[in-house]
Amino acid sequence: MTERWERELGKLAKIQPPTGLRRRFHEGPRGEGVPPTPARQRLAAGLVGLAVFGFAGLLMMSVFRDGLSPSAIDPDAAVLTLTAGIKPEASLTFGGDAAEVVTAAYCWDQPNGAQACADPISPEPFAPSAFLEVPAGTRFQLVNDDGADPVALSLATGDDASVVGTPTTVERLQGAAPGYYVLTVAASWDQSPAPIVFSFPIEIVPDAPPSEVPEPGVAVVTVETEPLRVTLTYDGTVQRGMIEDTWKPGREPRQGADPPCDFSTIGDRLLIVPGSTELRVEGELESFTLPGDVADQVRLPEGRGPVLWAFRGETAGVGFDACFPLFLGDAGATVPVPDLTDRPEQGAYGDLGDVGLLWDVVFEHAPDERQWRVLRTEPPAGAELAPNSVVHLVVSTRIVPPSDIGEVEWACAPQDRVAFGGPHLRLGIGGDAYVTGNLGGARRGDELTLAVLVNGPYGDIWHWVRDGEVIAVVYYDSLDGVACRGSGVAGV
Amino acid sequence: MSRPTKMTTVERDLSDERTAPASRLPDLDALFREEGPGVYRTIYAFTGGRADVAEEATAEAFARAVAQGSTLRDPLAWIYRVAFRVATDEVRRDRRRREPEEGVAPPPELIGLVDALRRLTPNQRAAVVLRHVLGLEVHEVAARMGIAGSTVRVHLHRARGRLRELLGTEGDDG
Repeated sequence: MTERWERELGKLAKIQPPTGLRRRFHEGPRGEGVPPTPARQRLAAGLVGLAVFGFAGLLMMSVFRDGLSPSAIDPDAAVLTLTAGIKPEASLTFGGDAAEVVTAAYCWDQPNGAQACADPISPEPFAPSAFLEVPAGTRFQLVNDDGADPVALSLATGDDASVVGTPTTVERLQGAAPGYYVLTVAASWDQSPAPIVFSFPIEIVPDAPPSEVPEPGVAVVTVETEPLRVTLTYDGTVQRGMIEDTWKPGREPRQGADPPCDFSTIGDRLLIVPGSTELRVEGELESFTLPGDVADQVRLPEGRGPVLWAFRGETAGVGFDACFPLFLGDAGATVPVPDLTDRPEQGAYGDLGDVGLLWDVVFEHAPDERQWRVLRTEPPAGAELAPNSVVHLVVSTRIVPPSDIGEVEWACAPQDRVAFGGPHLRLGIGGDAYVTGNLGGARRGDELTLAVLVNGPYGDIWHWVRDGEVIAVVYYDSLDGVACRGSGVAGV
Repeated sequence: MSRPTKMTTVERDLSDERTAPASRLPDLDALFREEGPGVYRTIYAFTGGRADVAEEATAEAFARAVAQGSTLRDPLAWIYRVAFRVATDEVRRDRRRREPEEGVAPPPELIGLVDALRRLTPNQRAAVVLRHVLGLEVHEVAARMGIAGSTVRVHLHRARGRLRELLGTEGDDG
């Protein structure tokens, strides 16, 4: 039965685009144009950076390692580490925190002589929570014990890893002004035919006075106006509030008393603040309103457990809605892991978030279980965990052996053919790369042939051929299939 | 802290890049006729009823696809991602200028729906429209939005719950 909200939503299907849309389409693009894929764009950007700027601005690192002890790490520095193992990796850390990293497409020689390549899914701009906060004036250290040479750094303002920044050096980063940046590192190793590009979001923040000591039992809301930023500090931990909407005087804010903060971006931490904490405000906050509350008194929400503290404020003539995800409880408070057995995967996310726990997901083939259902959690239901602990969800993927795959010249006997199910997370690419990229196991020389074309692109059946014989048959739509044992296709 | 990532890196052995067979080169004019309204409606919802931004983002995305020519393997997914990006940039630009949002007011029959959509986040709006209005499967929604399927499911879960609260369920005239 269709619910009312679905019927209302269905009205969107009747919206007709304006008549001028087609004319505007034929006028051509107005922007600078989007390169073929973000992955190639970033790789191209790194190469362009090297070509245009040559060796000016390159940080020339010594490649002559003595093979003795690794570099000493400066505990007060922001440390950029480059490593080359079975794949290239980079990290940027400061004070125990790490920045998110975006790695551009690359290929990497393996010890067995094969070459493995990686393609990231198109990333979104960095979320505010992804930025690594580094106080202005902090020294940066580059740890390059695996001998990348050369290493080129560039710095761009904003949150977009695809933007080509200004060349910089580790020394110059120490003098960066407060603001939001993307630090891009292009590192070259012998194992790769091209530099490998890593991007990190960092926020250079004004250095706090060293004399400030966190006051026990006091939470401080700090409002900054340029740019607009609202933070909540408690027990030495600073949490940045999510600004959901802003408006100038004379404009109407979003109607409704409940700013819809989006916590579906998993990984957001909850600040644990006991309910009896004193609340203090620093900076200009000309008004403060809690949802459904006419009183203009700044106060923390009441209750225990996970709470969304959402309020509307005004500062320097700008109105804003801000949200903080909090967990209210005494020190040592724990949360029991709920029983999520057989819950739909998406429902399980919400159940864990509602009690103040985080999650990650692993998938398990379970032929007799319903697809995308929770098989179990680790730790199990009932275990007591601290808020913000991670619960591992083991989710079922049902194997669907394909039927009617037609005549196939198999490379293996029937008893050696194993059914497999398509992956849950998929690369959004097309053609045979969609099959090989998502299932894995491809080797140099393998060929994918479109064996059966069924009613358009999503019904095709593909044959995976190695040395002239079929080692796997794959349905394009579901990426379910059958593969020869030992072929490596889809892990078989 | 361990958490699912927005991006997934997949190891694959290098094989020659294959170009799309000639029969699969996109007919963007036909694609515009078939899919253009769906893109427009999705961006309209994504921006909370900004018809002006939806028109510009839709047209710009298709126009850029024409400029890309045969390099696109999955033109429709590419067009959606460009349209989302253009729309986001345009809305952000408005906010940075602190200008009042100008746009065509929604028709009377959509005022309640648009008001409800504005109480969702942009990604929740896009996911719920792609799934429930355009009828796409979750993995197709993920490809259009350029995010992981698990993230799509979370957006849908929260969007549905919120819309139920705001618009009601069967038999509820509230």
